[in-house]
Amino acid sequence: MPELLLSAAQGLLAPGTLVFLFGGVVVGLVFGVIPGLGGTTALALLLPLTYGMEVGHAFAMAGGIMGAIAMGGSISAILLNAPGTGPSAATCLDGHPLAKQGRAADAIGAVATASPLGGLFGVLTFLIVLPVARDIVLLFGPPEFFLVAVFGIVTVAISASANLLRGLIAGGVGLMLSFVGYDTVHGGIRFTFGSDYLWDGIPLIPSLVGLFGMAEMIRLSIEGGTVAADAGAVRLDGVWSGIRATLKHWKIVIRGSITGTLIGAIPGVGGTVATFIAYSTTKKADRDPQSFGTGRIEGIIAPESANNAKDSGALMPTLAFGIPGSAEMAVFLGILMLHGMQPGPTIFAEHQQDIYGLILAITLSAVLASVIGISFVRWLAAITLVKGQILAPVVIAVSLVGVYAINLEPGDMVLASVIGVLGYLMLRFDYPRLPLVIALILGETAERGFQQSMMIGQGSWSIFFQSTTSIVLVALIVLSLCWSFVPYLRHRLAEREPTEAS
Amino acid sequence: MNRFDDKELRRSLLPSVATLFFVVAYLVAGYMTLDETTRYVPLMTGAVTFILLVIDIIRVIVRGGAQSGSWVVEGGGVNVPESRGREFAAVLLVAAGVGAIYLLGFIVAIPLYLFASIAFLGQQSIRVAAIVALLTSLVIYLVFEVMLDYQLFRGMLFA
Amino acid sequence: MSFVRAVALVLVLALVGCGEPAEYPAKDITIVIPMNSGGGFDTYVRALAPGFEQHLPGDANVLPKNLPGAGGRRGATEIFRSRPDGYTIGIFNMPGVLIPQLQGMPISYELSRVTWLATLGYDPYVYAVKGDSPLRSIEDVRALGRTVTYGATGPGSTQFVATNIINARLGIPYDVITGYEGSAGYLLGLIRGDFDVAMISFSAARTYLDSGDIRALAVFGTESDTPDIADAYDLGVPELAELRVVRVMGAPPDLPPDIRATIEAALLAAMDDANFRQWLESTGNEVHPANAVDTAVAVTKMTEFYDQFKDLLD
Repeated sequence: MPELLLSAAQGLLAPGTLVFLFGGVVVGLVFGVIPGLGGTTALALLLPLTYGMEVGHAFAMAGGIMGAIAMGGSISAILLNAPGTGPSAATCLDGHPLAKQGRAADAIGAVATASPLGGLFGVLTFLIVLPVARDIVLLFGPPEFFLVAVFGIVTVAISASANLLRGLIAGGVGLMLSFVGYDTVHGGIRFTFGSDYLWDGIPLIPSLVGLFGMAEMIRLSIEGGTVAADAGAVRLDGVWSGIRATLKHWKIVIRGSITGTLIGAIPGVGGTVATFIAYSTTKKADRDPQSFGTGRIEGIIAPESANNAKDSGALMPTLAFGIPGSAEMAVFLGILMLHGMQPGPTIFAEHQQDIYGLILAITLSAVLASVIGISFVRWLAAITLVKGQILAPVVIAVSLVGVYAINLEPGDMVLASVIGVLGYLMLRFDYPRLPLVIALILGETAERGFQQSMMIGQGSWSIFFQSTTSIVLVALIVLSLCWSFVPYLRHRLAEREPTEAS
Repeated sequence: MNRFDDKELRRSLLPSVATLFFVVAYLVAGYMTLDETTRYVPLMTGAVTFILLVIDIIRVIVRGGAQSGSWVVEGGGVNVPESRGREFAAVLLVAAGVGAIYLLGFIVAIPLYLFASIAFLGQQSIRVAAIVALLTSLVIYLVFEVMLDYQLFRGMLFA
Repeated sequence: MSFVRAVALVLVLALVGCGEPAEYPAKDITIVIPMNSGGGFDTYVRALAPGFEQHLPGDANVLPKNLPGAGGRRGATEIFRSRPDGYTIGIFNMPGVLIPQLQGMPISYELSRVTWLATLGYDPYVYAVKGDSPLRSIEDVRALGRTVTYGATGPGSTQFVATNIINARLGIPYDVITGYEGSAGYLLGLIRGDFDVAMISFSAARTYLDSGDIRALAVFGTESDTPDIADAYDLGVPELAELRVVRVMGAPPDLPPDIRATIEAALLAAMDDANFRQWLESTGNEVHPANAVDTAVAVTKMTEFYDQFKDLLD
């Protein structure tokens, strides 16, 4: 393996290939920044161009895109609360508050450091796990998918707020929305109002762009002012403090990247969930979880590390079985097949060097994207000084175009706006958005896993306890619930005592 | 005095009650339009959410209006905007913008939307509004249609 | 401008406008792909497109356009409703979009009115079990004496329909576990042991057959690529040789015959093209070209075949 790794590196660093890598980085950054467009769209545009290209060049470009998308998406997430891509949505949670405090540069610095580091750990994890990747993918069947989905929803719902009830309600509504569309298990069509638009369910990216981005922009246009609440407090040179913060919290980087790789590897769960879970677990493990959401730098280090690690994870089921670990991987599969590589048991053996080339390209791209991000940080941070009344409509307009461009579907624009208004109302009335999003993403996986498990196990609940993996997952869920209830109960008891005493 | 005369209380209850209506509509629609097999899980979920909402509403009534738990909003701070009017205007503007795009296409609607938002809601000068509107539209056109080769939606009236 | 001049100008413009229509193709041609980028249909069309472009007269470009959604119906609708001027054509996933039509679902196309252009190929279904399964033939499956479990995507999918039809014909008591996502989903389920058997399209199953992860007990196609595996004829159910995924190209209804002939010729030539053949070799894909007339006949046969089993379609 080391020799192949080395020759892959040599191949990548050849000037001809580097050009493609760099091109991919630029495309990735641009597509990442524009809300709505993202890795999937970029790769889809790239796909026809790769026909006739050498494999090494095609992979360099694809890797360039994949590694840089995260950085682009995070920049919009921080500056505008409009996630450029799904996984970047988690970065909005503490990234945008930082921007509002005038510390956008810090945030960008932290992101720029966490991304390549997270990506690097992801790659290392991938290489270590590679020999057993197939077996790991085989560990996950319908019962395990159901349990993972439940774990994801529970983790996020509980950590999302002190108001557990509202969190669960938001999760419930999210689940209800996730059931819209065609039910693959029973063949029923649910709540599509007769049109084909909602047949595949409520589309995710427009929902995220609306819920986080447009909602925030609506708020901004109403309240006025600038993104940075106090123009005087903006520090355009906070980049170094951001970089140092990430290095200081290296444990969070590692934890985030492992979460990203593992969860990114579970097909159907994917990158967005990975970053949200990385965020939630870091928040729960922190001494002061309530302060998350107000601008804790750890709140962006965790999801950003996960964001870049998830690509390495997503490669595993994609290469081993042709099951895309994420939407981007689905398009990447096309690139593979166009070049005559059939995913499956033989792909590692036959194309090891090319795969190493790809992973190296992704890693190098993350570094390049970060460097570019940092070079422009003053300009980027200056966006937070632009008058909200001008910025907000512009961002809304660009978001609408970006969201339309995903599938050339005007319905996506309408959906994003409707959900945008919903998101604004949730902001206004104190309802947590995070559980709604997670439930929307995982609802289908959870239901399908449940129904299928019932069919396989012929109606008996024991199916959820039959494999080691599922038992571990059940234990994780129970532990998660207990851990979260303890401080909640303590809080309620503490509330009661003073009134009892009086 | 009836508890429900308290405006604060009514305001706090509004979102929960509205959501309750949504859940009920969902349950009714689901029961009536869907097959037994396919409606099982959605209805169960809706029912649980319904119960949680009822608990939430009762809790707010018992505790009285303003407080809703020690709550940190992800966006950073609960906000009560200065004027309801601005809220409606902002939402209406977005709705009108989307409607315009749907009917007239991006190329016509985006500059109009931007101009209206910046000049009227944003209360900036006409000149600034016009410049930003035209400039942004131009950039959007260049990036999407020219560079990325997308055909921007022309609108239902023209397509 | 004086009145006379204006009239003259209008006349000239009108004449120019009504002049000889430009040779087809005078502008870019769009090929609609009803699936997402990266899938089997998508790569096939994209591999074929350059050759198709070359073999067309003139220098118009060929632009593949992905229109995923509603199981292929969105793409089918788009093609059906486009203007029959030869500038929008596309690939149809059959019998995927046929089944909703037979089920009487509200759709916006009618396959019998589509102008069929050519067949790219087909993909027979393989009756597969886990690699280490003790079952070696369909008789063994029957001899199990219990309900046999199958894995499938879901009602309405070709694969689900094929599973139902097979078992109804062979008279085996069965149960289907639905909900798997795509062929990769139930392939994985089969290897994992969630159920006994799965019907898998040959192109999806190929590498796993080669590696021994799964074993084919029968292949349902008109020719058996692997002669030592039973096929529909051996099993005594030759009509089931129709159970396969077919890739056909079509255009909107009422396409002028001369335009149709041009497109058909270019497609057939593209399928013979050296570069395309090379791609087929290296990816292990196959092509079974058929011209427009044969394609139309095949579609009619397919419609009649699945129509017989209409009640099994749900």
